[in-house]
Amino acid sequence: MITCPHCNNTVKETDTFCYQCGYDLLEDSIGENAVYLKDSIPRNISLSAINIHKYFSGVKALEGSSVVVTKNKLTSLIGPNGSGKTTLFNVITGWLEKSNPRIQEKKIEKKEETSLPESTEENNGKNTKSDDQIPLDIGFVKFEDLRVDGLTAHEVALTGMMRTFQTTRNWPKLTVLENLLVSLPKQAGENILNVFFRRKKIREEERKNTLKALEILELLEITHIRDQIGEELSGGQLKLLALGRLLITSP
Amino acid sequence: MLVIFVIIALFVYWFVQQIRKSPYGRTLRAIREDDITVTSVGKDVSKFRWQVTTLATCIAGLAGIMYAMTFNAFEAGDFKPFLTFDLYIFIIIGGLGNSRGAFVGTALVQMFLRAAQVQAIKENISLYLGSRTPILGPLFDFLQLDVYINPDNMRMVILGVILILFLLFKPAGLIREPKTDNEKYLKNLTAEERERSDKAVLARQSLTEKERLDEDEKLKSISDN
Repeated sequence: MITCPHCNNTVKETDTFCYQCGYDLLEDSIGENAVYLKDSIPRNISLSAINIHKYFSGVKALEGSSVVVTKNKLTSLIGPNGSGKTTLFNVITGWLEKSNPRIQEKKIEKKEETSLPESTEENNGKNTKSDDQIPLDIGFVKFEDLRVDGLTAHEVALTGMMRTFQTTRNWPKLTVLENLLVSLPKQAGENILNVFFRRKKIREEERKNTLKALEILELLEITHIRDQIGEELSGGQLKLLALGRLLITSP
Repeated sequence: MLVIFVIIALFVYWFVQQIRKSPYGRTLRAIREDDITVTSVGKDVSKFRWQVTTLATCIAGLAGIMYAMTFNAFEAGDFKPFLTFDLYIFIIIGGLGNSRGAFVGTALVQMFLRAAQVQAIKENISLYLGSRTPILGPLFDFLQLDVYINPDNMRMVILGVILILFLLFKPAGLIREPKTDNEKYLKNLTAEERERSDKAVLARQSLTEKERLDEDEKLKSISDN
């Protein structure tokens, strides 16, 4: 066993980086693969979720889980049933809030010694502190150098990190083209005042968005189902449509 | 006064239709069908919900002002919880998901309620249940029942039965929500862009799909004729 030079965490000799802070153990220096808490320049890591804890009323779904996703690579997360894969996914993408292990320890202490006073809710790692002050034991999620833990699910999606679901979801009564048009972020037409006072801008934007949506349909080779509604699609077509929803949001 | 109310009603109808046809309305329809997917594409669903609730409340308030102006006097007791039941009946009978359904449902139910209060109808369409009823008279006498049943005093029962029948056999109401199509988006494209997209749609259709669509068109033209 060796010690991480950055956070003094004990790591195995076979580990390539420290799961506590992300320090690159192979390079053993400020190398291209290293990700630091204080380092604001992203290297080749697009997503890092370090030391994530999640408790459900005492059940430890995640305890110190970490995952790092490198750019231009396909990363898989595998594990047995109930190991916390979906929970980790939901915490990373903002659908669940990660737990603060300090509060959990206080809750455990409180159970053992009932005389302890009620603990106040501490900052659960919300995105309010600068990078220099992130406590290592609480953990963090960073996407493209932006801390995303503490953001809501839709805010995480707006940073560019988008997700699909195990059971394919869509809008069954909307057409395939509308399914893509709804997915575009920050549309001028989604402001209720613009609907009445900026109609020309909305018309132009709708035209641009329609062309973009048609390009995506051509790319995915599902142009022929452009006019069908979501509930008429096959399973494979729904998967492609879900992929189209992600692709249309990229610049 | 009636003219002003009609103008206001038409304005509100136009206002709601503009929202429905806009990207804002499209997102609202998506939220109605699956709000989780809307959140996953980066939209704040709660913001849309509170905006729409506020807007609906303003429209309801405007309706309340117009309603109160039809009375010479009114009190809190005129706005009992049963009024909400009346409004649900208007919407369910008229049709869910569209403003025309709300208008039609309101008009039909109000016509029934007003007609039921006409004295001639009350007298001519009534049923006596009491001691003088043939055959069952002694039973009603035992039950101390002595009433005239007419559409006016049975209106809630009649409306309840109609509501149940609609929910069982015509849940979408008299006027269904209009089916969405892509025409409003495709008409923004130039002729060449539209033709290119339409050709791509036709080119990728399989033979069986083409046959199915041709059959559907034939049946539609037969039913239209």
